Amino acid sequence: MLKKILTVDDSRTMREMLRHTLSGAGFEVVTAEDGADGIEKLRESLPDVVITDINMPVMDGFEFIENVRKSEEYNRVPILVLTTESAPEKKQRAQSAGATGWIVKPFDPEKLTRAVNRVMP
Amino acid sequence: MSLDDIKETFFAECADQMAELETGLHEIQSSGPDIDTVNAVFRAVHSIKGGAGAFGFSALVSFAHVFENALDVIRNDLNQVNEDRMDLLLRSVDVLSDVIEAERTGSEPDDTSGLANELETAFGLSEAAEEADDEDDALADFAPVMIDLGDLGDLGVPDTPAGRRFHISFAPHASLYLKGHDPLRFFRELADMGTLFVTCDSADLPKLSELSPDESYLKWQLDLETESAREDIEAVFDWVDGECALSIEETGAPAADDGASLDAFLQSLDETESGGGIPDIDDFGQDPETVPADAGNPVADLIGSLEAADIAAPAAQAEPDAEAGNSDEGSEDAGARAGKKEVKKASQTIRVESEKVDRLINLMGELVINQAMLAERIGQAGFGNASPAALALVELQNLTREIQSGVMAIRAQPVKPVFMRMSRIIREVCSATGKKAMLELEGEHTEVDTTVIEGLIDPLTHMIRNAVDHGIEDPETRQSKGKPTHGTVKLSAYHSSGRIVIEIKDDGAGINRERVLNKAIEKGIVARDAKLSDDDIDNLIFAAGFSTAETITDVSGRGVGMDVVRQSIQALGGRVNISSEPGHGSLFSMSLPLTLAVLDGMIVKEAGQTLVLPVSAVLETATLKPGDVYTIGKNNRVVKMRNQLIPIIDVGRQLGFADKRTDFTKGTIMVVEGGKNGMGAFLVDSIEGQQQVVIKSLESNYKRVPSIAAATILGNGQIALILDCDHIVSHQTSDPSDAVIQSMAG
Amino acid sequence: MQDDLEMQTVGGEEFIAFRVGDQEFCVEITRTREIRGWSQATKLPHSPDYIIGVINLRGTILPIMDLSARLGMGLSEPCERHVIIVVHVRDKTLGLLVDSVSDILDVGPDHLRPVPEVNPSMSSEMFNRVIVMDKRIICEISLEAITPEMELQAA
Repeated sequence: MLKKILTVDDSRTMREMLRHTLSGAGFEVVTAEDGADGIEKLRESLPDVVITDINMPVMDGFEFIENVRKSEEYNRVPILVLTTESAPEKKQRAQSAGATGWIVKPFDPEKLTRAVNRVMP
Repeated sequence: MSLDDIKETFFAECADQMAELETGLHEIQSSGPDIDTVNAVFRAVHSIKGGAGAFGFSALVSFAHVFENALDVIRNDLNQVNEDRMDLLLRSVDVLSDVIEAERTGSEPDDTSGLANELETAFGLSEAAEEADDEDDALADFAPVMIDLGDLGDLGVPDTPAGRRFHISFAPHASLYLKGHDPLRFFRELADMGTLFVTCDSADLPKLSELSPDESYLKWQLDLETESAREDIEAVFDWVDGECALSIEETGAPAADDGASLDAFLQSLDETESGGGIPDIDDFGQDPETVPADAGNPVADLIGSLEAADIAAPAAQAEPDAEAGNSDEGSEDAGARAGKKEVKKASQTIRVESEKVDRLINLMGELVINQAMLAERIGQAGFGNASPAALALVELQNLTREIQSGVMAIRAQPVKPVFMRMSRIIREVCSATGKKAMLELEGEHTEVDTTVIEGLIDPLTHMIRNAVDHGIEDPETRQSKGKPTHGTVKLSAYHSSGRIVIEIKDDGAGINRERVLNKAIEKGIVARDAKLSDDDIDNLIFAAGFSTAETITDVSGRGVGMDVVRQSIQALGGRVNISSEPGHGSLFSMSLPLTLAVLDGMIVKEAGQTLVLPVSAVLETATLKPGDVYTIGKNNRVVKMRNQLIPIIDVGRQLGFADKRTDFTKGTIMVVEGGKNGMGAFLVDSIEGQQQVVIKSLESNYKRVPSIAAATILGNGQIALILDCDHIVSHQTSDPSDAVIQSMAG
Repeated sequence: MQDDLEMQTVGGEEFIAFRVGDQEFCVEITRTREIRGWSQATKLPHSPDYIIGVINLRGTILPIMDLSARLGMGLSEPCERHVIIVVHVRDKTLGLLVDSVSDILDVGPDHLRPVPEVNPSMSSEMFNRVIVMDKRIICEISLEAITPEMELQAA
């Protein structure tokens, strides 16, 4: 059975890029367009790994991760943060929020796949 | 989905983001900054930058980066907005749009470094930008991927002796598990780098009854034989910095059997080998009977211990680290945090290809026609109006009407995006002419069919350009007149009697009537001694061949005059006119149908032809009585109605279907409004009825026919032409006494 | 009629030949959409005399051109005898009113000639080529040439 990845990003382009890369690497991909949508999709699809952006409307990445970590059933799903902001405070913030790891945009497909495999159960 | 498809998506998304950006900055400019709008604007540029990076559009990335940083300054402190900075930001919007377009068409983007420098200076970015760059470089080394030995360059040791040995001590904190990490994965990674020996230290593991789900008890001692460098090993634990106690030491030559190799115990599940430090099952405090069959197998126990570690930190409530995050009030969070205030539920929307909607609308049109045909057949078959068949038909018609409204509503869009585009047009004209003007919007959420919206863009653009170029005075002149230096162009939209009215009002100088009249006389548009009202003079700008542009600038025209604008609007089934107050400004007023797809029509018969008039254009109908008709001058017949004398229009003759009418004692009069506040009394043989008709274009297979707006297919399959009332009323006669007729009243 | 036709099946172009008055003309079959019987057309105001009007072609408004009038051979009186050939010109569809359809011809290159310079009965700009076979001379109508005004769009 294919491993499933949930990608959360408000940019259509980014969602499609991620889907393109990840499904090409053999993963099943589910997408969400903001943190709130992400929570719903998480419940519905129970992915193996989550990749999320930080800057999103409605609910941003930090809040999304925090909410996931607070939940009962899937609070330990590996979550990778995908961001263009590589400043150390942002990484620190992501880590404090509960991110498992991070990937800096722009990513090349190999980097992305390797990072995913590092945390894929 | 290929990369090219995704690229298209990117540019489509850029268009959306630019619209957001434009709208947001417009709001900030008119009502001051608020955190939600600023965040939305920041995110728009951020998204564009992100996507651009993925496709390697470096010019776009670098400009978007500076723009984003400038917006970040405001995001962190809303007081950082001032007029000069707003101007810079607005200019940046235009430049960003241009760079996107250049990248989209594959041409060389203009150099943006000038504006980028201005942004950096104005927002105090220079240092921060450099810092960020440094960070980027520094962090490249911390990229969370395995680094090949080959990549290390000067850090690498080319002639590393085969086989170095490291001793790693790894004790995860509870937080490590809570972030979705699994020690087994780290071990896997390390094992990929060479040969790994793992020993679990479960000394801290309490009895099961005292086991707390939130705590971490297990520690590991690992020995790795590898050719990789220390940095590589550190990189494996990159993400759990601070979530564990970690030490990595290079040790001497490999020793034989410290603990058990990961490979070994995954392979030798059945072997009973004793390893050091493997706990006895009894230490778990378990009832021996519940223990699996191979309980005595220490290797299995080791695996069990690793799995127990999983159990030891199950889903839990407390997570001190997340709390630390919550209490963090740092300014870099202000933006991200506040983002959640936008949680007022956005209405559900879906994206649908417009072709699908167009097809649906066409099918609806066919349904309407078919329904009319059915009605006809039912009538012909002799079913009375109260018969079940007829009643069922009425039901059907009601249902169809509802579905049709619903379908049309799908394609109805607010005019806002078109209005927002005008924002940029104004900026361009201002910068080209040195004038200052601001756009004010009202009723931008008024909806109209897509087909009409698309047709609006060009005429609106020209009228706005006109308003700023010719209407608004330059700042000094305005000041001397006691007006604010910034002119205002107000764009408003509202529904009125089944149509949409769009107005462009400027507070400029108004129309220079003398100049316009002279120009018109010069061009032979009006006779030298013609008596024209102020309004007539104002509307001369729409006359064919008229253009007051002194310089053929790129600004107002590009060779397009207001006459072309009027024609485009008329082609949409609309009308436009201008009114002006010298010294105070002008007002363009446009009225357009809500849709180009269907029409409520009055079906009439004239000269053997079946014709259709838009119900919205008909003011009144009446049967002609001989005493109502008066003759003025030689040939102009008028009818007395509505306390006015309204010129009679011999429709059959006008359209060339019949010779001049001689009998003016019978027929039906329809008082129709058209042109600029004009009216005509259309004389036709009879009115057949009223029904909704589907508009079929003549132009798609033929061409524009004057006096005819479009065609439709009636219930009997016959084609009926839809009259262009504006055109007919405006062109009814070129007799100079017409003006006299128009002004006669009572 | 069919018997004296010479059909070259290889490398030929297909044409549909029809009669207008006492002459035969043709158009490339690839430009032809369909052939229909006559139906009453709705007149268009202020249109040239060779435009009879428009008809309803399954929901589309189709203009009908009197080919005889267009070629200068006199106005037709449209009735059930006539046939309408629906053709595609530029991006529009148009109906040509003709007397009858005579043939489908498969014509090899040696039977296709350019239009002779001097043609006394009608303007040669309206034709592309001429088919010469078995003593028949069939002029190929240039659809673009007979519809120049349809290219003009007001404003």
